[in-house]
Amino acid sequence: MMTMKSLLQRHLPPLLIAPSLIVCLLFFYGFMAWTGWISLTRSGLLPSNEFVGWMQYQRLFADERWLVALANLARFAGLFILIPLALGLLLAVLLDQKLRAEGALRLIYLHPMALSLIVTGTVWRWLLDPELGLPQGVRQLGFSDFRFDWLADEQMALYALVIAAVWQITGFVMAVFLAGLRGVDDAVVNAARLDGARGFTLYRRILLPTLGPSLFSALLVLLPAAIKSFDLVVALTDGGPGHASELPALYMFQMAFERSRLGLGAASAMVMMMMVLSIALPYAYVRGRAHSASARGRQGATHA
Amino acid sequence: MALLGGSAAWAQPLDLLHWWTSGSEAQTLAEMRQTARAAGVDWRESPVAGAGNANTLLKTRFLSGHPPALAQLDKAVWVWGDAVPLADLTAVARAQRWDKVLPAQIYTELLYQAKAVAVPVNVHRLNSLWSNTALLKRHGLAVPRSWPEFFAAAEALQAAGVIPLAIGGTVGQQFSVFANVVLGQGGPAFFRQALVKGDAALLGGPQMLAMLRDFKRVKRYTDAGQTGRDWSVATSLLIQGKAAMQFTGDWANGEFMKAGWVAGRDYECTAAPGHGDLHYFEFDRILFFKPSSPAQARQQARLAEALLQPEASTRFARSKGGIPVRVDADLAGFNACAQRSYADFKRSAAAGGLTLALGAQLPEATHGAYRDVVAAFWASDRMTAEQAQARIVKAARVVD
Repeated sequence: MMTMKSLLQRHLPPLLIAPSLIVCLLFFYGFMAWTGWISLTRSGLLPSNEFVGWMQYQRLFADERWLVALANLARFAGLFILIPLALGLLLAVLLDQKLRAEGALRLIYLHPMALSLIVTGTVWRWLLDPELGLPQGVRQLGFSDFRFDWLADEQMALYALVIAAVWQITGFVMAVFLAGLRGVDDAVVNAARLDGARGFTLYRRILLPTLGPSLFSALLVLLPAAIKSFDLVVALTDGGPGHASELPALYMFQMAFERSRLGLGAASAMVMMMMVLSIALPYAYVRGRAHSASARGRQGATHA
Repeated sequence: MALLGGSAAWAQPLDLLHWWTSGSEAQTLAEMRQTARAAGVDWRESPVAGAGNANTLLKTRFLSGHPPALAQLDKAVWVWGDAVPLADLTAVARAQRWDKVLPAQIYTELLYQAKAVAVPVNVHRLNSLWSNTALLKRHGLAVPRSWPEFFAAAEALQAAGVIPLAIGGTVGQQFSVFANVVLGQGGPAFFRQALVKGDAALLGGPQMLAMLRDFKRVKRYTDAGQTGRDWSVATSLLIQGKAAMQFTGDWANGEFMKAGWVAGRDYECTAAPGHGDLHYFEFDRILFFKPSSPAQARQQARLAEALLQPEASTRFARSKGGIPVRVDADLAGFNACAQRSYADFKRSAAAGGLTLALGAQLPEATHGAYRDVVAAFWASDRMTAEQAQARIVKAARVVD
């Protein structure tokens, strides 16, 4: 009876997580591996197993549309990360001033997060429409020469995407930073106050340096979100005008599912996965090292 | 025998996968359903919103081993023929003499490895110029018959504060302007040799460069609100009197008729500038996949025969808004635009100028590459015609 119970105790946890582990292995890593294989075959309308080596990757990097999408991603991701970080930090610091209406303000700033990106994209498409949207409103106010046609402008359409994306994500970054700020020990803050640190100095020297982990969390959400941006592009600009605001995920979707070029689409998906991995792996490595270092530290402490 | 056929049919219905979901399309589908059931076919439908989704679902159904018996087709038959087994309707085609009652340009598109595998439903003309008659008259202009006339008229309209050309935001609409320029200035032989066969000398030559310049010049006469606009919204600009002309397929006809406009009085439907009676078209068709049993094969044959009956074929064209596929159709009850289109269709077919849409003639990868160039060139203020031309030459070599 006892052995039965101890057997169960020993094996129950692995048994319990086994189904989710199998599902995860199959649907996550299994399909990833399958996509990798498809990218090395001549798959067109339907998957095929005819091995062609790196041909799809050569085609991919010979396609100007893909190169444009990559260049767009670089511009988009840069702004999509920097602006919400800066704005989010500013909002967090402002909200941190023990305001009376803080709860309501926090809700307002966080609210865009509750919307699907398709909704965000559609709303902003109407707002930014050169003929019908906000520009028309401004013209009706009497500024009859007012023009704002970023959606129709190949140079600016990408920045229209940035506007909508920043609007959506900034509240989240703010919440992360605010949590970080609130996480600072009161004793530390009071000690700094006693030493004469006030206002800006207090933030610059004491509070902001402790936000490193919050910054990392925000980055880890923002970077992959930038790389896999798809729904916003579809709803707001559909990659246009031309391909001026196309991002890699849209390219992948169109090649694989609308143009019957499964192999090429799979190759672009693999390149995107490599991009995400190149961010995630160093992070996991650093985290892993920090973790084992702190574990060693604790061990040392107990030994002492 | 009829009873036997009936019970076998019940066991294996003919399932049509399609994306005909808009008003007139649904009506056509209802006509087809009625025709099929009258012929004793157990007809089922699997509607999917959007061609892209429908094609994805079709692939999935093949991969999972539950293919439908029929599907709406927007590609050349060989695209599917190379991938999956198709039905053989040759006996029906021979009995109904498809090679005689259909134009050769359509009949050959129904064959895969010399076997008939698809049934045409109706024809849509793509190279139409729609114009607001009153607006043109008010500015003392006639419907332009050539590209120089078009540019002159557009210049005059723009000076008068009218949008000369209404256009939507999709690549398809930009591409149809491009096709209209190439067909109007180069003719069907040039179109075939350059774009279909991908002749690098022609694509890289001075004639194509001039066409690309003219294509881009057309953009000057369109408005800034085109981004994200649907073709039907562009048509409504004509009806509201804000724009004078539009290039689009004959589906626009239904929009004018819905607004109570009369062809020849309120609006004109002419061939695109320089096209004469050239008919550039696409046609709706149903692809028949390999039947799963002899009983299903018999049903497929019965359906194919019923869909191409002269009376049924004409009915489909009327509800769908195009023209019938058969050359012996009776067009009583069609409006003036459809009648003109049908007259051009037959003349063009006889003279060999009948030209099938580029997308139905080319591999998807090549056609897609052309579309990419045309869309990028239309959108860009920086890309020169020379750069666009270099990309077109490259696009012609893209295959999958």
